[in-house]
Amino acid sequence: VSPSRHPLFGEATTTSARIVAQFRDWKKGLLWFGGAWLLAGLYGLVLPVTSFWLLALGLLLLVIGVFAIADVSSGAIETLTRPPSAPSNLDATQPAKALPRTIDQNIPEAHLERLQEPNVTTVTAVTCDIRPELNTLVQRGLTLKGTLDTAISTLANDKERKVAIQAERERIGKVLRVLEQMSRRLEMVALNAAIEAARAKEYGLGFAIVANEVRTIAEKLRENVASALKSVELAVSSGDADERIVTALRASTESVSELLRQMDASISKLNENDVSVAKTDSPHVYPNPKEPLRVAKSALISTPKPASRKPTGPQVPSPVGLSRAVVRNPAGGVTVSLGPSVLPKPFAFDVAKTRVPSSSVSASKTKVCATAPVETNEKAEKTEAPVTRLEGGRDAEDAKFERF
Amino acid sequence: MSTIANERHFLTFRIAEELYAFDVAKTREIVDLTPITPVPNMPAWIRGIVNLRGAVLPVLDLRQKFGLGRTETKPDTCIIIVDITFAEQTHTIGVLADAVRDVFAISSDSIEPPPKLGETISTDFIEGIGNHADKFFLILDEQRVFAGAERVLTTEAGE
Repeated sequence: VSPSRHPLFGEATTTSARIVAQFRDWKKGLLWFGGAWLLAGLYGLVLPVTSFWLLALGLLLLVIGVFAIADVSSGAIETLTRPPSAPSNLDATQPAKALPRTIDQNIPEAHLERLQEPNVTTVTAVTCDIRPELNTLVQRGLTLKGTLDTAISTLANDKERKVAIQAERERIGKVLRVLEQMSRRLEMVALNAAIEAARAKEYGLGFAIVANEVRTIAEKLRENVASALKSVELAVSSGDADERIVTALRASTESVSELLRQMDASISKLNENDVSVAKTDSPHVYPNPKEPLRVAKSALISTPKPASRKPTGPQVPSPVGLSRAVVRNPAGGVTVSLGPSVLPKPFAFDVAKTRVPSSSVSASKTKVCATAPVETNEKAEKTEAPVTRLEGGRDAEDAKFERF
Repeated sequence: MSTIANERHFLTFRIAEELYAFDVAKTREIVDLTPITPVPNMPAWIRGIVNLRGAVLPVLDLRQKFGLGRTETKPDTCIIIVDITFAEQTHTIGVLADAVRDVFAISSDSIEPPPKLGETISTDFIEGIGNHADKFFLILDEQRVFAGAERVLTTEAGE
């Protein structure tokens, strides 16, 4: 137990000012008041009349006070067992692994003040920003995994139909290629998170751990998907549904789903660790297109009149890549902003359980990326191919990511 | 505080077969390769401009600048967004890299000074040589490595 703390007085017991300050807490105040009242009652024994009632009321208040204080002191003990306070943790004399839990549990005023510093907003914004993207990616991966499973089981069951096998294989290949792109994207997001964490220096330590975790998982995911792709290619070239290949595929997809689950866990950790920091998020700053544009203008050395090359129309931040807008704020710091317009749109990825006629899909405004394979047998009806849809008005970058 | 003060974070990336690094403090982010619009009348190592969420950034090809040929578009090719300061003005530029490797911290004591290769060969664009996971990487001084860009970036900005 720390000598500077006391269950009743909280902080230092030496200064009377501290004790007086403790009276602001009504529970402790009640206890002291009850004690005083009891003393008055005892004194009242000497005097006539109301001494009994004074004594009774004093006892009552004291009992209530004791109950109230029991609650407080249990809380106090809890705080004592915790590391003293966040700023001393942030001095980084401790190993980084101890940090993430303590940062948000007792976020003290000193830390909140330091949150005003420019770098810290980076962490908060990035957390808010990367989280939805990671979440959508993982959800999407899990959906793909489901499609993959059904496709593999169809492959294993319908050995007699050569055409079906071919179609299934192609479909598995497609799904795996999407997963591959997805894992590459995850890696890049995690790398960007690591950059942000490093830029935020000590504030980013907890965040950096999670970012690293996500990155490691993404790397493993990529390896697994690559090996699954290899076995699919082998299956396509060998020309028949070998048991071995199916088992290999099953093993790879199992590890893929396991990794996706791990990723999900890491992302929820990200939520826990940074939620308190995110509370004090700065107001959204939208990118000022002028500054980078000035750079570009000067790059166009042959332009005769740079003044005439002003941006036409409002510059709307598009949901490209990390969907993060990095701008320089007037205070001189770097602020990463985010807003509803820069957040990635949720992937509209449907595994159509009922068959979608290809004519109706192409007739609608949605773009179909993975078209359903040719209908071949009764079983394939259950496991209709994934129909990846792009919502209208999506950015070219996203479209590139979707296409395969 | 000592451990953090002595540490520096680096982003390593690959150009040709070699590893290079930028200080993370000067790095903004990594983005996927987007179509680059070429700009006429530019040195070969200024590849053009890209649109990054509405902001237009010049993209430089370090591989070309190092005399290793043009950067080809591959799945791992990406653009590193870096801040450089010329004439007390900060410019944000994109740098093409064949692949991005890692973000990590190393102690600043472990950074070796750049090699001296005689007076005729300038190595001043190398800030130092770091070692991570048994691999050397050249830490680039972003101010000096883009020395030629200074003219291009600041000529009209000053007008």
